[in-house]
Amino acid sequence: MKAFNNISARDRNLLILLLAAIIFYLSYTFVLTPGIEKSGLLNGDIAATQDEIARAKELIENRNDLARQENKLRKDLVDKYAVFFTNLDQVELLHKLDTLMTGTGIKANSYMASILTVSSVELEQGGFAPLNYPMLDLAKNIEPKLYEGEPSEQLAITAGQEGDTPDRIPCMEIIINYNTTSYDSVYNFIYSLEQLKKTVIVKSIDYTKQEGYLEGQLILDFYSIPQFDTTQNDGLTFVPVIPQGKANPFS
Amino acid sequence: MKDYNFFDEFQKRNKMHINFASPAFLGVLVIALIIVFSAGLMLYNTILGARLTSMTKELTAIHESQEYQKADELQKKIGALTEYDQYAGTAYEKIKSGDVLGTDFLYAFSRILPSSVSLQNASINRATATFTFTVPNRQAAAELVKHIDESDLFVQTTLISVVSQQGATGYNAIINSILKAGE
Repeated sequence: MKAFNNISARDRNLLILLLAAIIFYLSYTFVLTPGIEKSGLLNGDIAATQDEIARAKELIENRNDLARQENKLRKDLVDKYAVFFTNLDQVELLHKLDTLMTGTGIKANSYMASILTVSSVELEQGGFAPLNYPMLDLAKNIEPKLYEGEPSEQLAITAGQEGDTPDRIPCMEIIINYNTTSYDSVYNFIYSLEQLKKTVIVKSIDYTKQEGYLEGQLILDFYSIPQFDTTQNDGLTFVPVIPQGKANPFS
Repeated sequence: MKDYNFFDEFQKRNKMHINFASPAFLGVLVIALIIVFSAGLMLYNTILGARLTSMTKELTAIHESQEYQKADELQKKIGALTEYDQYAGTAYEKIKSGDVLGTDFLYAFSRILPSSVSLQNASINRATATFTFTVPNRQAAAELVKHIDESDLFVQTTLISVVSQQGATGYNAIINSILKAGE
């Protein structure tokens, strides 16, 4: 303090100003800037929390509406997708198809069911590849009416698509080989499948006339979606009627 | 005896003169302002922190309430159902567009065949079909291909061969076709 008093007034003033500048710098760097940043963050957090509280309160207030909405949506989807199977059980499908085959007169000599596989539904497209050449384009320009309705772009003849798409669903393929069957039986069997009004499509039909009858193969694809409501029912369940139990399994 | 004035210092201070224009005063003022502002900022942040803590507690209490959990669960279910609808809808549209081999097709196909031809074999796999017919003559084969080609069932029809049957009258006509599908 004595040394401070001994220096000239001008130097003393300069020293005080220097001290003030240093204190200002230190305060600005280590107190004011972090403090202002922190208050900005806190204000942001408070605003976000306020919004979250408001949203949560609104959600609670609307819970009855949400329950009604969820119930309606669920029922709508159950009706909308009643066409889908919800559980592709090999036993139930065998039972159902056997009933249909017996009823329509299909003489099946083999029945093969694939394991359930999950994939995107293969989109089958039938198209043809038109022959394009320069003179054809000229002719089209001269008389467009002659070429109306013809596809202008080359299409893939068959195009399937696979991949990690979100609409992948389980599919079971069933192959039925038949012989000594009439055309009417095959037709009626397919008709009875259509009358199930379910997601089963005939993937392949093969028939050959042999001595007045048909023999061939049918490949059917059954598609299902996972069950999301207890009221969904495929109508495939059956109750076994053959008595159980015997002393000799080979008898 | 000496007369002491114990208030001498105090009286001196009372007469202290502050020069507001002096750098010393300005320096002290700046420091004082910085200290006051810093303290104010810290106090402000403390208040904000306390407010945030209080609001967080309130939010936690709301989140833990049964009403909120039920409402939140409902909202998630609605979201899941909406997404489910979207995916199932896409899958269903694809299935519908691929469902071309049915009784409608078989019935329509029978209707376009000339009465004098007879189908011997049909192999239809999705959009690709191969037919073998027994035809009495090449004229009938030509009419058969024309009818198939002009029907709305196929986008392309190709006659592969017309071969006379061995040991019998008539011909075997093999036709490849591509069904209209996925449109």
